[in-house]
Amino acid sequence: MTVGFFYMDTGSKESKDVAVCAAALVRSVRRTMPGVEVVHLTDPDTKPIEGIDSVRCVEPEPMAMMRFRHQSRVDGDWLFVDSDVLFQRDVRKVFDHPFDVAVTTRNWKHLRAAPGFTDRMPFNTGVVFSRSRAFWHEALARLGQLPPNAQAFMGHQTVICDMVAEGRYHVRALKGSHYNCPPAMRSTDDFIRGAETVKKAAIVHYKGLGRKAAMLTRIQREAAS
Amino acid sequence: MTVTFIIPPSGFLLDARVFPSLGVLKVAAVLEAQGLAVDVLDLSGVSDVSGAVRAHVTASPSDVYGLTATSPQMPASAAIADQLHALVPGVRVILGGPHVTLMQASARQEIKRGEPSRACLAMTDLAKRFDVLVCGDGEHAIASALLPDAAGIIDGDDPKSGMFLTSDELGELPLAARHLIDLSSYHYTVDGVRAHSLIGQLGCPMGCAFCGGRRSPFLRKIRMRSTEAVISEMRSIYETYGTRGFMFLDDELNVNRQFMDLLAAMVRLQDDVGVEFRMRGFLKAELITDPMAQAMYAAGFRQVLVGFESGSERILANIQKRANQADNTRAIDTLHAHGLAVKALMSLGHPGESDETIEDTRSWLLATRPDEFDATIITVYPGTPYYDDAREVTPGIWTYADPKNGDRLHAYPVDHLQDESFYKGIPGQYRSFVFTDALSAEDLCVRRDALEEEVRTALAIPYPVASPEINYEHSMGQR
Repeated sequence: MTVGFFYMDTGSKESKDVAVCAAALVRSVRRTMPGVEVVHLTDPDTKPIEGIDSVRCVEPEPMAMMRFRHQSRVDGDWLFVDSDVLFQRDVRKVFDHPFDVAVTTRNWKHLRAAPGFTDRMPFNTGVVFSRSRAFWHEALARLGQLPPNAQAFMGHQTVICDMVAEGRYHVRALKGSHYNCPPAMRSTDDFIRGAETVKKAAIVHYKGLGRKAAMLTRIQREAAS
Repeated sequence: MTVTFIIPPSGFLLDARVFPSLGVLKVAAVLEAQGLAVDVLDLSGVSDVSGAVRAHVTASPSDVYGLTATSPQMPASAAIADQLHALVPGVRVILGGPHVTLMQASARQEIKRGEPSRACLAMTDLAKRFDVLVCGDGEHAIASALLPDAAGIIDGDDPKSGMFLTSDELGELPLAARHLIDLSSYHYTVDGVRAHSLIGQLGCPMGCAFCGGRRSPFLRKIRMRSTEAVISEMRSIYETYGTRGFMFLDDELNVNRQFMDLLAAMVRLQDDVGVEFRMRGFLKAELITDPMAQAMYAAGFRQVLVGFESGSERILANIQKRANQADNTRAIDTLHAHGLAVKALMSLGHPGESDETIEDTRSWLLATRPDEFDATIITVYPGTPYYDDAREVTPGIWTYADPKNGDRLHAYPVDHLQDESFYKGIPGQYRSFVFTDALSAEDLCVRRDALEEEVRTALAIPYPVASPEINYEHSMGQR
């Protein structure tokens, strides 16, 4: 299995923060799955994230397109993750099962479902296990047909969810609460202190504006200890 | 221990000394009653804030400072907190007031949804600048904030916290410590009579989508002082300061089921002291009745303010105003019939706002002929449904969609520790931080200015001339 994550430096402060998150992601792979190759998917101008094994570049285009293009160009067992995830357990056994792609559900019981949102996008693409280039080829083509605004925001999620729903690929659905779990906080105070409630999940996903800050707090706390 | 409360400057107002900040004076009064040494550094209208803070710190033994802040006061309050931390070793700086309360209410919603976002981040930023954050009612919470190990958030906005005031407590607590500020430097008149402000009740139960605190019990849940307590405060203000005018900041007076009793008691108080009072306050349109308007006039009210917001049925529904156009028209007619002048508080830039809805507002104003009006462009504050229920559907733009018809309102983000320009403006200098699918931010400013010009001309309502009044015209609608 190879872990691939997409990160491109846009020069913004947010982008610098995400680079810190991505480096922590790499360290978490090393800690939980020694020997697994980690590949940084990016553009030619971005500096490689610390600790990776290799870099793969494509020419700049809208980010979602770049990401799918990367994913359509690799063969073998790949785990594609967002740069804001941390591994807490070994997940290699997922590849013991047959599938083209294994997607993770949004069935996060500790979070309130967003009305209309979870129905439309039952899977979150922040963590996807893949062994099918064809799947990503098609995803790329379909994403390219969407208006630029839709490409930039949620288009990649809806494309994947639509392809899964159509049933033409062998898809395995994994529990998001274990393989792609956004941490929760009980209160604003907890959020400020960086106290999270997710302990057992294999992959924690700090998705969203606020969780990015929580991930940075966790990284600082772990570095200090 | 000496505790200094700081009223931050309101540099966004041309004259900040119109109404004092009563909330912080109430908290000060509670500590005074407990025998603590308390003072107030009132920076309203002070130009050299840094110098004033330095001078106070040099002369004062205080090692605890409590700041209050509305959202537009936050940049100044944060700067004062930084200065205090730099000047006073071991100082504890407490932040209370509406901004942190609203932000925490919004952050609570994010936590409840499991999607910590901009409000949680904003609370984190506040926690970096202030040692203790007090949300909601401060009267009991201040004791916790003064404990040696106090830190983080003290949530007096939580009805289960034991710090959330009951109606009885609200009536029994000491009156605002107006003596700790130079009240004579504040100037406001009602019907030509010098006036001071007071608050008869806390909270508004309505659910208007643009209104801050709809998810903050502190601002939503009604806590009522008894008629006797309100009358006692009016008498105290009259006897202490000789003031015959009263501006009620209640939001709104007639949600109080005892309002008619209060009006009757006001008449008795005036009979007792042998002078005529003049009063002004806010009313909810659909709750106005003939007997109420009649009794208000008899009690000394001559002008009232009503947040009609829009003349468009669609916008009124989107706002969740609960009053329709007919209710609003009937309210003006009723008030006029009893000799009460009406100031109509209108706002543009709600979800679904368009040329058509603004035309509805213009037509309604011309038809109902209020005696005074203002028309603002709405500001999306934390703690409003417009803020709490918005999502960043396009990077840098937060969009709220009406839950029933999907009408949308888009807002640019505001850094409340840096920006104060989101606050309302002066005619011709408005800046909008919102836009709709039909009207851009610039369109809204142009349409607002045109609406005001046309309605003022048609109804022969002059633009406000005195700068202090302009401020309040465009800040609290209280002119």
